[in-house]
Amino acid sequence: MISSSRFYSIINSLKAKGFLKEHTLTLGGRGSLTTFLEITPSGCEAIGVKKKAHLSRGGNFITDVFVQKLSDNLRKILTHCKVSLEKQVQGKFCDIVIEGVNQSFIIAVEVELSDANLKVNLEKDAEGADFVIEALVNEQLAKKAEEIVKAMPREKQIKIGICLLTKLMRCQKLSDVVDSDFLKERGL
Amino acid sequence: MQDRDVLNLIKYIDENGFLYDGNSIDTRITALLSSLTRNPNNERHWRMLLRILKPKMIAQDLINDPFTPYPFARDFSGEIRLGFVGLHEPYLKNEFDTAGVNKPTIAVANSSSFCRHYLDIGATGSGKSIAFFGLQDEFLRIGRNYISIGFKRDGRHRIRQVSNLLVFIISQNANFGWNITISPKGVAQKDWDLTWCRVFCETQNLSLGMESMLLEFVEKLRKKNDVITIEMLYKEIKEAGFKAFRNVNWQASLVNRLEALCRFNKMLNTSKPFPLEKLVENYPIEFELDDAGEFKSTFATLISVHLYKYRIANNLRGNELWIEIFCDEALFIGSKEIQRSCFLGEPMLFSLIRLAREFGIAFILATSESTSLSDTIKSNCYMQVFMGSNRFGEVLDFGRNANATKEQLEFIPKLLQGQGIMKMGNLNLFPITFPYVEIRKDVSESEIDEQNTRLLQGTEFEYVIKPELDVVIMKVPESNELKPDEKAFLWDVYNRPYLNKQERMESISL
Repeated sequence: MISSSRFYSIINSLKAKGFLKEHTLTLGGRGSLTTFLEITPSGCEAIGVKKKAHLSRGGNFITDVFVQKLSDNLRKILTHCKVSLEKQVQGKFCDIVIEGVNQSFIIAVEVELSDANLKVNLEKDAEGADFVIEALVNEQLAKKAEEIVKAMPREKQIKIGICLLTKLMRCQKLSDVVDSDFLKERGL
Repeated sequence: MQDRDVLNLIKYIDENGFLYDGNSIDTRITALLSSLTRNPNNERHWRMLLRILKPKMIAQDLINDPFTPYPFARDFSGEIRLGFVGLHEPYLKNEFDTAGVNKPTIAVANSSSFCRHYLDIGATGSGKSIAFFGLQDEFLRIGRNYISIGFKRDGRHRIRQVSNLLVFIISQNANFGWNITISPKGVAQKDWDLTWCRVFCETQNLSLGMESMLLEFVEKLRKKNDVITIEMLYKEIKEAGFKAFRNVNWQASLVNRLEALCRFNKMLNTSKPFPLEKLVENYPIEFELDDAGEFKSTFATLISVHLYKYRIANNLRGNELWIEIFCDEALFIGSKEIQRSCFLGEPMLFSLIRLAREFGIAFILATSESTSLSDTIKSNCYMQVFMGSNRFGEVLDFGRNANATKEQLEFIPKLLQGQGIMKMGNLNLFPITFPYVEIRKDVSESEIDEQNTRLLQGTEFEYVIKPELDVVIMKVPESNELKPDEKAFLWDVYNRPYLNKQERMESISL
């Protein structure tokens, strides 16, 4: 551990040089805001490495943080399942894929920070996976997603569960935050 | 006169000796009378005649006036002549020409009276500024320089009459350098930091918490730099990271005010002290603050405090080395609002007005709205003159200040331009007429620069008017080269991108 003043002086200096960027996010739970540091392309250049690709296709650092934090929690609570990031399910990429033992089931988890591709993602994921969990960043977005799902045919509706991203990142059991018979039957 | 009987009027004029102005017959009156005898319906000539006669008639009325005669009749060689006792024709063109049949008494005051301060109250256009110019001439006559804090850009035109007048313009394009953070000669830097920070916060309505924060950063910068500037301070505070909500609020307010003050960087970014105390020994000085925006009060106060602190530190006391500070709009430095905004009992300038006499600093103030002026200032002004107002509230306020009687107050609406009622210490009120000083308002910035250059070029104070030669060298921004610990930190951010700040601080080792 280093002293707070030294830590902040290094951060300020690196920020002034344009090598670091700060992002402040709400991750839910106790406390309000959490700050993350992102290394910029010029920062990567300064230490002689290439910038890492984002975890999700077409994503950004903020999506990466959410996907990473969410996958960490899922790995922790679903010890008997395989949790993969940005994996194809029947030819379509999903942010997180949960596979049961011997591929007994496939759950696609989608992280949505905006309503830009919400409808498309919902329909796309519902086709491939056995169950889809839509993790939405705020309640406004969750309401929108619910409306889209309501307009879908019944067989698709039962395959989609909607929940808040912040709750999913902290849950101990998936069925605690997603109301679904599919999850309850499998004890998830 | 009511029925405009010209013959009766001539008789009245003859009886009262109105035809005599000084030692000659007033030809204007005789010409007008002769015209009106021929054509009594000439309205224009009646108006012209009344304009000449009215002040003379008021003066005549004063034979039975409610005022007691001015008690002085003395040699005024070493004293300041204030004006003519009595209500004469406004703006007597013959400035203090006392020859003639009706020789007017001249009211005088000495340094002791002035060091107890002077307040001039009067509506716009009642002649306050002209009266000030007359006083300034008197100070120059007895060999004293003055400092004038002007807000109307009219003092600059005096360079036509005062050959050694320095005009300093406080604006974004200031014509001189004044780093307000540098202490006056002899004053401990730490003491001055406390003073200017307090003046800044008081006049900008910033609270004690912000003053402490400002001081803290000043001290921090002083450890690294010999000379600091407002710009450095602004950057330092802006870039500092605060966690507590209250501190962030204070920071935001301070940054906001300092950023606005940085507009004056051309003036503020100098490395040498502003030798106000030395300059005023050789030159009268006019400060123009009309373009200083919301910092009028701050700069005006700092000018006065600069002298005061210098005099305290160098133990210059008493009336012998007295210096006069003219402030034509006293509300900018002494309003009730400023007094209320202070968080530690009394603003710096108000203490100054109470205590400055001991150190020979005389404030000569003017305002058009005495009811908004702080009572501290009114009760600390030994000399007060009222030059008429359109508002009876101001008349009553003067009456309360000066213990005027009903009859005396009733006389005030009759006052014309350049005339006033004066209260001097415990003496009874007396009427006064100020001499007229004619100014032509045609002085440009380039003429001011020429005058300042002519006066200061080649002297030890040349750097004051050439602030561009004396700019504080700001620290060059650090190069983008990485220090070892910064490089290690970047590697850590690269390898562990999803750690939050707190986790990173706890887990990193450099």
